Amino acid sequence: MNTPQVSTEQALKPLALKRKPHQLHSATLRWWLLGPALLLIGATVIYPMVSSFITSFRDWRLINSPDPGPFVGVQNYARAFTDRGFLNSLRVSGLYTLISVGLTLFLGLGMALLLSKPTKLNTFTRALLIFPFAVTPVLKGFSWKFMLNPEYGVYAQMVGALIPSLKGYLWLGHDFSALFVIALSEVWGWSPLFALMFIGALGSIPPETTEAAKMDGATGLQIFWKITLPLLAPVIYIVALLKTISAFKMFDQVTIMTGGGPGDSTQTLYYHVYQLAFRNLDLGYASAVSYLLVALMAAIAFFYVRTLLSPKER
Amino acid sequence: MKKSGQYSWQKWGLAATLALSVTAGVVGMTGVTAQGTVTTYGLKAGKPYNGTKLRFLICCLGAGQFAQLSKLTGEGSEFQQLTGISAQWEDSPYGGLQEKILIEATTGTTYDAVAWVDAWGEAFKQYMLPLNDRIKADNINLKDYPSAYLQAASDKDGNIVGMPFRGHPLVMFYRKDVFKELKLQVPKTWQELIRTAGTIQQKKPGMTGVSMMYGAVSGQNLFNWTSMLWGNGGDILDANNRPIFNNARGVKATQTYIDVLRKYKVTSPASTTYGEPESSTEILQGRAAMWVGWWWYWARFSDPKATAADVLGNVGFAPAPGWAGADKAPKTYALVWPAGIFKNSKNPDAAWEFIKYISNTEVQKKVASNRSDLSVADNTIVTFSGMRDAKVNAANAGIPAVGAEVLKTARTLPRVKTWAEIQGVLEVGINQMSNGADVKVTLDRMAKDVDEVQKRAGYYK
Amino acid sequence: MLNARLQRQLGQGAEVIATLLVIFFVMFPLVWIGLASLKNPVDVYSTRVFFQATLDNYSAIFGPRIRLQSNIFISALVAFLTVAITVPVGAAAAYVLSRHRFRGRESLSLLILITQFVPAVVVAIPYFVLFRSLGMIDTPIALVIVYLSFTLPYAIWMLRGFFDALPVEVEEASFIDGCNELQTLRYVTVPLVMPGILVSAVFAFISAWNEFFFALILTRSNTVTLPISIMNITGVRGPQWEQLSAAGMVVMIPILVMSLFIRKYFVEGITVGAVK
Repeated sequence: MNTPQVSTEQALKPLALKRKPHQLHSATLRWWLLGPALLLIGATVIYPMVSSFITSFRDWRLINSPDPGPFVGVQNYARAFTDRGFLNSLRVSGLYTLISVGLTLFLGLGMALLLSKPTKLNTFTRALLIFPFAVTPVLKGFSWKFMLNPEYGVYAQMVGALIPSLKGYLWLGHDFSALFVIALSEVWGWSPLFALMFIGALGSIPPETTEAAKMDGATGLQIFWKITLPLLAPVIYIVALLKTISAFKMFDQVTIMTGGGPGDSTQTLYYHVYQLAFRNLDLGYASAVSYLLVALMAAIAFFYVRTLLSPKER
Repeated sequence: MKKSGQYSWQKWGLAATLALSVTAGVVGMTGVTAQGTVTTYGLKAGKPYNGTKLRFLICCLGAGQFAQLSKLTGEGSEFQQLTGISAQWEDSPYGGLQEKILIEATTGTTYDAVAWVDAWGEAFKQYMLPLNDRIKADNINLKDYPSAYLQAASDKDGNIVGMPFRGHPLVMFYRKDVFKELKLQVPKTWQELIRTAGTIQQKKPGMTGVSMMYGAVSGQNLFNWTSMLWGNGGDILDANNRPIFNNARGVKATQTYIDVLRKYKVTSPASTTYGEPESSTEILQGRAAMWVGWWWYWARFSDPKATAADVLGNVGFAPAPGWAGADKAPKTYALVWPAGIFKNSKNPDAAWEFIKYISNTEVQKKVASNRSDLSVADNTIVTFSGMRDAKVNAANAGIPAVGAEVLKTARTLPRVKTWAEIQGVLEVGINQMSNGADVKVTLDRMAKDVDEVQKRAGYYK
Repeated sequence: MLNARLQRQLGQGAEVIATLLVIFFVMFPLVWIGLASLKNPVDVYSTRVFFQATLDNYSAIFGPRIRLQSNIFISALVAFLTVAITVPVGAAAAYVLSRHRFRGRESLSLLILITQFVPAVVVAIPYFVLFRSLGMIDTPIALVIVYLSFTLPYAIWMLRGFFDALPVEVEEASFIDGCNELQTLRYVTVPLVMPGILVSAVFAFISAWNEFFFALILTRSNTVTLPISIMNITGVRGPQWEQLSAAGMVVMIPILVMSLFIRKYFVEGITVGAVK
């Protein structure tokens, strides 16, 4: 979080110096150092992007031929907007993003507020917060699927004991709950991480501010709404964008936990494109749909980059 | 911890002993069949492909027949002794196998041979080696194979691109003890089955009448649906490959299929998420009284390690139910695994020797009658002569002969290259209906989707 | 007065309980997988907490049928190769973008930042087609190349932050002492950003180790990585939870240890751009 902030300030510093070190920097060395990275990025990102952009205008179905077929203009793109499958996946991904971003923020914030005081228990708990994030997504999917099995799942049984009407509930068998459970497996990974970020940001709020408010007779809730939340807003904004991007990329747990079901209620965009390309073997159309995803990501990325780069937002 | 370590070592010892005894069993069997020779199996003499290591893309080595055959063709096997060729069976899970095969067939170079499930094949038959000349040269008697199997293994021009080596008629499994106790007749139609299931559920609390599978998992929720659909004279596609499963007959059959769960409630509500593994486990664990599934499960139901004590030895079988009032013999889906050779393979001739071996009736008979290790026992056999073989039937309580009868009229899924996409539409729609979506409305929508798929593929304008 | 104290104590009590709930939420799935990995096939289908522990599942996953060791080898190989390319190449580029002043510097940085947002599905098809024509499907190199597409931009962006945070004065002093740029870089700058280099190495390792989507498309049998092999641990009755859990532990533990190792930088690392 802090790193980019420092960067601009540090970048401005050399201007104030008498000797300008960058004059000692060798232009030849510059390209030797930068070259490999540019080459690799060009080969691993730019080339495939251009290639699939071209493919998105072709009719290329492996069930007909292994070689690319003729160009068909924007036909692939046009098809997407009347394709129930694509529109459904757009809806699913949208809903999934709402749920997972909302829940992650909510839980993350809650945990951060709870753990912000530096007690021994809190310090210990904070140390644990990094664990779920690093867990392999495939394993996140399997463990939650396992724990929510209506017959022998430990979470399913706990819920059943607390709320008898949910005893034996098929968590992965209903449209909304299946999507919700997939979101949970991801929220489990992300919300502790968010909590850590928020704890960092909370630390930068001067205690005097809240003390003064308390003196004026503000309640805890008022302090939270009027002081804490506004101060956290920029951090919340940026992590929400990050999570949004990651939410639109949901694939692993869908494959593991539901295979897109029940029905097609958890077919996220990623999963849908995967099926178009590698089950229906329709490379042209799959490329077009993936470019629609690029457009969507670009819009979100625009806000993210703008925030990250413009000083006033911070 | 230490104790459990010791315990596990003991277990390992046991496992090793078991493994040894399996090998001994197999070797023993070989001995009985007078140690197969190249002539017994129609293989080439003189080991022309000595040293070739084949890679075979397949799934589910937990299935007994695959487990046995992979041992018979791997390193140090009989097949290797005879031909100098060994085959490595790639054990990938059933879910995802279809995608893996499609991708591999159109692009891959990793494998020499592959086995697939019938309807998947049309999409990649152009990438498979035609086998007709080889079949002719080796005098393989095709009349011995059920026509549904051969159809599924051929392309539209009649080129055979795979040899059937595993195939299943649909049979109905039922709890003999329960039927006897309640004095029930074995149902012959789905309608009777539903009534019988209702009776069982009434009189046997804690047991569901029939186990079903409505989950959208690799098309497994189509198995029983097609039986009902075809039973009622409906079909998935017509002769021009247009969808017709939403016509009156289709709607009626589908409604019945969904009613088992939603109206009559004679199956577990969780079956909306079940695939074949979960669904068969229901009867295996004694939670369901009937199940319509592939015949190879018969061997599983007689394995004491896989089956609950009160179920063991109590599972009977009958041909899959037909349709009340249908004039013709029931047409059920016969699932077949053809094994073929990728055009990309560098070892097509060695791969052909391998395929000949695993599809050979003598080999298949040996495997199907081997019950020395029940965990890999499997009654599956693909040729009629094998299914009617006395020894095979004696080992498997006569189920092979019953299967042969079912297979006479069985049929295969439509052979269209768009099958993967169509299957996607069908399995999702069926799953939605099982979750409460209206049958007629959903079928119409599915038909529209399939219609678009077919038009796009150029089957019609 | 008493009332207020009671209230405060109650509040503290509630806080402790809530914190314990957080610990439960965060750790329980890991603990449960750990327990399941020690259960026998019967206990795993129950919610028993006390059971006769067994190591059978661990011997099974390293046994002849699953042979997880070969998958561990592949995963480690791919992850190490990815790191070995990502870190030096990324650090060199990050240094230039942080220290050198030249036209196009900012747009170049921006471009690198943006590449991180490229959805994997877009690049998957061209890769697939390319590797197919080169016969590179199911090779470790194919995976490494693809993984570079996200580890490299990420490492550059993160390392740039570390370089930026380093005061220029240190390098200036080195220049004054007569060192040229390469010497300065080698003896002064790089040692100082070592923590950043380690962090980026760990992140690159974790993302390669955990990657699922590309591995699903680009591996067949020779280069099956751990996430895929976990998925393959299924039996006739569906997932074999006890063995799957044991394999899960094997996959999880190295990366949990690694993240503990870079704990201090973890949050920063993610925010700097890790969208993966």
